[in-house]
Amino acid sequence: MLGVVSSGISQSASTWLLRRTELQLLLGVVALSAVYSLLYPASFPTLGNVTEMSRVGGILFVAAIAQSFALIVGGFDISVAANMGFVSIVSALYMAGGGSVVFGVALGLLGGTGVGLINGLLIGRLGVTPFVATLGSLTFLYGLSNQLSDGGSVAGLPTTLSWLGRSDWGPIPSTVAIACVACALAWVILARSRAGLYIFSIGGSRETARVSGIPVVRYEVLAYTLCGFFTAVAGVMLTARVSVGQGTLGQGYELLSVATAVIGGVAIGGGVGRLSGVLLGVVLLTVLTTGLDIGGINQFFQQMVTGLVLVGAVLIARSRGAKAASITWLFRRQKPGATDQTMAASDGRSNAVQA
Amino acid sequence: MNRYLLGILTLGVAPGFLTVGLSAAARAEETSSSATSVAALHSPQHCDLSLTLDEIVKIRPPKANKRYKIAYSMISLAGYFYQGTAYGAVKAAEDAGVDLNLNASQGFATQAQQVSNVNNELSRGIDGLLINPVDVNGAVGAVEDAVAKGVPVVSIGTLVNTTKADRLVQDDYTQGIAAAEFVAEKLPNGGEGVVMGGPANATWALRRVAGFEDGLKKFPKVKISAVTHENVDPAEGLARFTNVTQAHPKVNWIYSTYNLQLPPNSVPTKYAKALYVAGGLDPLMVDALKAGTAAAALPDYAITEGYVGLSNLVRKLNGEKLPSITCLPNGIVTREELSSPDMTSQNLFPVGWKATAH
Repeated sequence: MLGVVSSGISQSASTWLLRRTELQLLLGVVALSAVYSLLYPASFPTLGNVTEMSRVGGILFVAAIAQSFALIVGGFDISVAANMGFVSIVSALYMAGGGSVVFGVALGLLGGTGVGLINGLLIGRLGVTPFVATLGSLTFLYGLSNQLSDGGSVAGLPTTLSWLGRSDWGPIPSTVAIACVACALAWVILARSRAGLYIFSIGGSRETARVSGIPVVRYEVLAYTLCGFFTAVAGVMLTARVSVGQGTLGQGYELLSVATAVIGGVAIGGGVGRLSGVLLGVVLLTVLTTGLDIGGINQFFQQMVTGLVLVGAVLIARSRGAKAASITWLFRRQKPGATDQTMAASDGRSNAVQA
Repeated sequence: MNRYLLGILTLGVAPGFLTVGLSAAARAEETSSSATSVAALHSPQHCDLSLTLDEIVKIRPPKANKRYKIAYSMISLAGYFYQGTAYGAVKAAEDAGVDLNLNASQGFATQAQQVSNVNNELSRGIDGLLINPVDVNGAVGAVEDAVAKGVPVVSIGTLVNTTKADRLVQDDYTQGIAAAEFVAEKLPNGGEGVVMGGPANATWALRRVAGFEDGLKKFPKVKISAVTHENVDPAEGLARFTNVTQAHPKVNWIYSTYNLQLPPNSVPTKYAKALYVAGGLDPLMVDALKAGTAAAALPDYAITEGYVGLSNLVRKLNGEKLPSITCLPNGIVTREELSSPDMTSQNLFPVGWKATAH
């Protein structure tokens, strides 16, 4: 009997650990990497491949950080990709015209942040829903970018731009280094500042935040502005990586950024999320798509697998606090209800402000 | 087993097994694909008239019998090729003395929008329609609607699947062969390389890949390591390229069916010495050819498409009979050929020129 009790305690601890989004994702990544390493031993588990994955993942991580601000405050931003393209065009046009890299990048960051500010004002101040406001921005920005670039791409960028996405900072790919800086900055804002606390609070309950005296509009606008800023950083990184400015350069990132953030535990609806989870969401998706590419799987099958994994990952991640049916029901031995409630109580919103 | 652990392992392991299964499924699919569709990709375009570069530079539109109202329905305005076709069409309209109205969809996923655009033009009342079809089959309805209303149609670019339009095309299959022969000529000792195949659902891209594969059959020393498929998106193309080179690190050459799938200046430094060949001759490729980062471009004659297409339409409106399918030339442009004014005049429009459409 003692053995059974001990086993019960041990199982409870391990179950608590496994309910942590990060650990779930980490184990998923490890399992997926192990399978790919077995399937493609000469290609997948190599330093070169890890480096290349980190180059791609670094940019996606910064875009996902951007999206996390919008998600945590209770909205979302589907103009992320269009904003990246806009930043790409603005900075590329300036640099291709002979302007300096520093000013070109600054111009791009300013433009992207400005777009975030406008989104924030539309949503926070004017009460336009996030979907409509950012859909409007998306459409406007694609048009503006193409108008500015005559519908084409902008080449002839200075070689020094490669320091922001193509070359390495010592032994570290530049995209990884920039992503680390962006992550640190975002962490300080979300976890160590009053602004972060307010952003989480507004996402948790806008009305409660308002009654508590939090200037809701101001911090909602700030969240979207930060979303715009980090999006601009990702746009500059992507431009530097491909050495071309293009209005459609970030296409796909609007959904990938939402997907990776949500896989990482950021709640659609707001109030919950941790950057560590977002990072692991990015790693999972990057490992998945890289392995599929190395395996020579065609584009259509890749889309199908990626879609299935996205849904699967979110279901598993959600299961830690789900009150409704979840994928763990499939593997459940106990009666439903009690466990889910316990899970919700022990591991639900209590994570909210541990950015 | 702990149910959470089981879920997580499912998340991690299932995609791996899916990968294996899908690899096998894809191989089976390749071997069982319908002979007709494969044959269509792997065969040269039938042409009723084939034009040479010398011939196309001499083409001028006839004076219109009256000031016809013509609409040009484009796939998109975003892209150098599309802008080039618009430039050619506008110039031909000026030379012929006709009114030209441009309208554009928003890319390869917007066939419905093109059909609406054409129907709107027909409602407004036009004498002729120039169309660059979004999809070979999807645009058939729009063409047939126009013809049914007595509006003659000339299609350019993608070959629309109806004989009711007179068509001006460049044979993508032959372009792929030209690229293969160039690679083989430059690498007499052979070598391995990657084909950046472009969108997996675009006929032009698939035919260029098919032509390239067939073109290399005569040169067994030149081997294709991998064929990728990606949208015309430099970021996606670069990611695919870096991924496949993990599995196939030896890259002596790169063939991109269109240059923006992997712009020459996006090629990782590690592969900078690989022979780079790509479809399209635009300012990006001109710079790359001059800088030596690209060995050759395969021009797509954007301006010619618009100019000759509209000229043909005016001829048709004037009562002339046209060949059903007219083909533009295929060839290779290296740094040396860039100095040819004929080549540049058919592919590059003035800096700052911009098409506007409704």
